Amino acid sequence: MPMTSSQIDTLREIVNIGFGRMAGVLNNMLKAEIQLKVPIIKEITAARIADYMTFSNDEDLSSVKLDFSGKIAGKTLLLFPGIGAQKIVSALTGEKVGTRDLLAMQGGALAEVGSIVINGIMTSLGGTLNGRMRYSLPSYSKRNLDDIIETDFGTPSESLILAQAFLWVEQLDIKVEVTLMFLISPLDVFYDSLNKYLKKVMV
Amino acid sequence: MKMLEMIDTNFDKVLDSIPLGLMKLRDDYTVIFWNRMLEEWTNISRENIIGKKINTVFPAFSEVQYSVRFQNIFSGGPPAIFSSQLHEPLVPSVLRDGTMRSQHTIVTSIPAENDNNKFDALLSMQDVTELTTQVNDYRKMRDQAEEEVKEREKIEKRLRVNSEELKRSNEELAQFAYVASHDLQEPLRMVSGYLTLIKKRYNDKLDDAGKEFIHFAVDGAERMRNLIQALLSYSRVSSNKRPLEETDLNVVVDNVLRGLKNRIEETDADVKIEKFPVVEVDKVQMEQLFQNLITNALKFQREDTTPQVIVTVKEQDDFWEFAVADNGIGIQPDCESRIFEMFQRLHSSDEFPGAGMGLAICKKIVELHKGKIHATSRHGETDTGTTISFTISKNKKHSNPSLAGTKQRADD
Repeated sequence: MPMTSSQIDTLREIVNIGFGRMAGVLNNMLKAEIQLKVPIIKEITAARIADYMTFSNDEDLSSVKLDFSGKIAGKTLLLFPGIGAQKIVSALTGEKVGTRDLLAMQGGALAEVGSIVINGIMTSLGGTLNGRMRYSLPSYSKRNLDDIIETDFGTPSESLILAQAFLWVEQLDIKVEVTLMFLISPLDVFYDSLNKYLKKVMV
Repeated sequence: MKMLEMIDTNFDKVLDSIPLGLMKLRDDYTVIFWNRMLEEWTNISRENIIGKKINTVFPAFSEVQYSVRFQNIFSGGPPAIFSSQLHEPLVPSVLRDGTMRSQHTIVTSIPAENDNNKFDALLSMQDVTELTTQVNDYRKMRDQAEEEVKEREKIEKRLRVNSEELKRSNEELAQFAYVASHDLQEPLRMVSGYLTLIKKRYNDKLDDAGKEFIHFAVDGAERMRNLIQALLSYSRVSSNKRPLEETDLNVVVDNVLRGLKNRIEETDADVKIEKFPVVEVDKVQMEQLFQNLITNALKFQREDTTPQVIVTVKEQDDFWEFAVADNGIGIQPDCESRIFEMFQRLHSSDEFPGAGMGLAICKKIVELHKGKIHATSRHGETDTGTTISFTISKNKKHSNPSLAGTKQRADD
């Protein structure tokens, strides 16, 4: 059963709040103001992931993955395109974009930045579920989209929720498209939580 | 109950022996667990820190960048990472050498012991000093290597600039030599002409000393004219650039021998020439090269000897190797390279006249054809003589003539 438009709006609001939390933390770390576009939310199948990406299938992407379990279970995958990731780490570490030092640092630093983004959103999402969630440690890897689809998504027909947001830091000339993919099971429980959250907010 | 106490005690021991700094904080930042590793790192015993607010001991915990993320943890949010690459250690720990221990910290949310609605924060701190040191050492080494490469590139660039400057300077010098020798001819011709006129008109009015002075002056002017002519010829080798063309060297050498016919006949010289290939060369310069070498071979002879000159060619992979061998007076070994320098003479002009430029011109011509030239000499009791060998770069387009036959062509 596909998401209704009100469920999409609710999830957009929740993700937006999560991005807001993330921006608050990163603002502080970067000492610069982060601006965000309202995220786009879509429910798609794994087979159509590539259709929604602005980067090519073989481009190296920085990805951070977080598994979760509780009332619902699944994983959240965050993708940064290579140069955007490098620019963020460069702003945080002072290393120049394109240097080998920056590439060496990228893993540790991006695992942290990725965890900040995912944490912001998952904390926000967890708040709607009225139940304790358990989380794995965020894990960082550098892979292309083909690898990610093959490794992290079981079947092409598997449904997932895609959230894409654009963040930019004008002072530091950073413009990054951030993609989040939520693989959630069971989806009906998740949708039900969204409905309950919407009712609560409306009241 | 006793069983439970025993299990807890054992678990604390396990946590104490783990090579990680472990700390547990209540949601008001009160320290409720502090393992042995942290005692070692900080010199703060658990008795002295448990029950205290961590931010009163380590103020970094109060900074907004940490407190915001700890609030997430105390709300049961996902784990937070504080990587050593982005943060100073949350729990500073000084090593023996005075440097700071590098830490990678993961903060996990765990349910509070007595309240299911609350969460504590478990901080797990990994000592990554060794790894960080190794990375820093590697970076230092790499920076040093990069510096060395940059320095070497600078030197190479400087050498390239110097080489270009040298080339330009040589070209200017060659141009100067040409212009100077060319322009000197006219005033010298005037001096020489008037000296000859004085000699003609006033010879009978001069005493013997005067006649001798005029003779020396005319002779000096003549020698200077020869030197200037030689210098001009040398300069023209570089300045008169003609395109290389396929040239039958048999024809070239024939022309040379025709010009030397009288000399060869006068001295009854025996000149043997091998069959030559067709090569891509400056035809005029080749004629000058063979002319100079065969002339020298005929010239530097003992009076009582019949000159013998053999001109040979050998085919090598990338070049042709020519040799002009004579049975003349030979060259002292220490002079074998000097003879190719400008104005170098090994004998007085009374013994062997000349300006000392012939072989310098030969060297220049060979080098312009990307070849090399050298001399070897024989000084045996019965076998003396000199061989001048030179190479000419081969062009693949050239035909490959048969070098099998050797025939005498001096008297063609």
